[in-house]
Amino acid sequence: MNEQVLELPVQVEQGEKVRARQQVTSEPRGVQVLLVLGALGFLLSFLLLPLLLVFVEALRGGVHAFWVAISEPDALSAVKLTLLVTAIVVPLNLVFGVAAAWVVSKHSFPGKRWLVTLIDLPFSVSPVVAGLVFILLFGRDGWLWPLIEDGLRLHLPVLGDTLLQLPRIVFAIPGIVLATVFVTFPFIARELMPLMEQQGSDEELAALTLGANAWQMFWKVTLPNIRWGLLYGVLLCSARAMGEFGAVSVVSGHIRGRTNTLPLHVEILYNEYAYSAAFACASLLAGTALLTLVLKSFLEWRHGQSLSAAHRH
Amino acid sequence: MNIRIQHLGKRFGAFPALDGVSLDIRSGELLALLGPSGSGKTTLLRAIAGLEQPEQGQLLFDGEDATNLSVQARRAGFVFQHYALFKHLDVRGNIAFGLEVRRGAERWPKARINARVEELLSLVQLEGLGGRYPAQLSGGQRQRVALARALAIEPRVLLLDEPFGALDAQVRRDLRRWLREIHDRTGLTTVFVTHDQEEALELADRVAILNRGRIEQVGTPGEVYDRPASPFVYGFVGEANRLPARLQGPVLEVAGARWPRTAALPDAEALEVFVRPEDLVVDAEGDWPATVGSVQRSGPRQRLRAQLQGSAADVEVELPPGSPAYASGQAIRLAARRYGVFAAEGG
Repeated sequence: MNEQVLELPVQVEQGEKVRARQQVTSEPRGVQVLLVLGALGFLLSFLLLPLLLVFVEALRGGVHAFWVAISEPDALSAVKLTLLVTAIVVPLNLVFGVAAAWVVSKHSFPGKRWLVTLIDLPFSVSPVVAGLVFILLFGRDGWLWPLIEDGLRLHLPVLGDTLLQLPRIVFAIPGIVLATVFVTFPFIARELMPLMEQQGSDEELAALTLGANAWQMFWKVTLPNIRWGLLYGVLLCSARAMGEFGAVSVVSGHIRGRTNTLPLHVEILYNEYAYSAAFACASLLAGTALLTLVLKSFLEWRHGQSLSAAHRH
Repeated sequence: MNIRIQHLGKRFGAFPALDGVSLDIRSGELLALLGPSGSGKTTLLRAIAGLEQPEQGQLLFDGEDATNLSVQARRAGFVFQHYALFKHLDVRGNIAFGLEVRRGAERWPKARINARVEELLSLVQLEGLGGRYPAQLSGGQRQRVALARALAIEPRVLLLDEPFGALDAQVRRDLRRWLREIHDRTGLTTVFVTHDQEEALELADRVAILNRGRIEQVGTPGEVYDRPASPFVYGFVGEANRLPARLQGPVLEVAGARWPRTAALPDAEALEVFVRPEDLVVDAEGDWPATVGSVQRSGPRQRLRAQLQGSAADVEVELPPGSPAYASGQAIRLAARRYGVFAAEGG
């Protein structure tokens, strides 16, 4: 019999698992090499190669053509719109996400499971369907169209006659914002929920017993505890907000220079056979994705401990 | 500050965590809330701090109604079971927290806060560790930071939830002694929760024993041990042999022995007699003939397991030091020096 030393990973010290070394693989070396090569080959051909191709195609016409493609007015306005939408959506979802995570993780109430499922809805619903919902609500034949076209006259006690009228939503910026908010809603909430649940509410309660009011408790205890998870969620949310195509495509109307975001602009260029321009714009998106990846890895490397509860993405 | 708790009630769903608890906590005393898990002791502690809102009853601080007082306004120093230190603040930041959140006229100048923090660091013997973060401290050190943090706001009462639960035995003993010293020095009314009877009996001035959301007995450690008020207390604090008993006219029949009926017996047909192992003595004139089953020796102590002839009951007997040695199978007679009689449970 060959001797085997098994050290069991059971030493638990102050909540941190001290993992002992353990040999878990028993496959022959050949199989191991084969598996590793297979995985690497898959990664190369399905992830790295297309990414590389985007940059190669973008620069095929030379740096000058690349520059022209991304600095023409329609492209610039698409970049601006994308950044504008992201700048509106991320803060909104930051507030919604923190609020939702707070409610779900620090309180228990009937219907909590439902709420959690509801938060996940945008993950499971196709973005195109989400976009269609907004068309059904706010489009020309939509339920709320009268509110946009004519407005609603209200007789309010203090303000007197007030006209409640919504701005145009579909085929306009509000629609794009709404669709993006919907699609990216779960990112921050989902990131924070397990983190806040794991941390419990003892620290918050301790702050209260020490005389802090609710506001101080949030800023001085809750927020510092979730800051890295929050940043991580914001990062993912921004990346998705910039890249969202399906839902935005349905509600935007593709009006060049006005309601075209960068992903839509890429599609239009591609459909017009302006390949190198399309790839030039696509490379901008790919660039932001890479940047996100780098930042994300940095966060994980630097603050993995405080993110540990949320490592599922 | 004295605290008067009157008929406090609280349910979690269908489970009654507190079931009409009344308790007077005297100013300056060190009181232990002792009970098994689920007995409501922690809920009671949290209700005093305002972390749990009771559904019924009243809470008086120094005679004033505090039932609806906010957590902040109660100024109760609370030490959590797992300390709940602020991870992102160093020891100094943790201790100063309660002083730095003060606003307006109550706000202390920076220099005064710093002085107070240094004073507390030396009180809890953590001088020089003010710059460490909670993750860099041992369990015992964290416990002391939590205590210093609670003391910083000059609380009216100090509440500790299982203060030594998460520590190893040696540290626990040291901290126990040290908590007693701090209590004696500050004179602060202190309430702590524990499920460890030894801890409660050793440390507290008085012990309140809880079971299923009710208080079974309140008394000094001596009273609670020597004169348990209920079968539960008999079993939970120390050990007890339970002997079946029955009232038969003027006679109380206990596991075969017949005792004259005394006035102060519970009004029930089926009774149980509780005798602690050290209150059973080997006595040639004793009530119960018995056979020695097994003998355990540890150092000077000798413990017998004996079978009473009059009943199926096995009893434990703790012999006083210097007793002769007994052997398995030996016939003896046993007598009870001290006992308690209660109505049999479920009968």
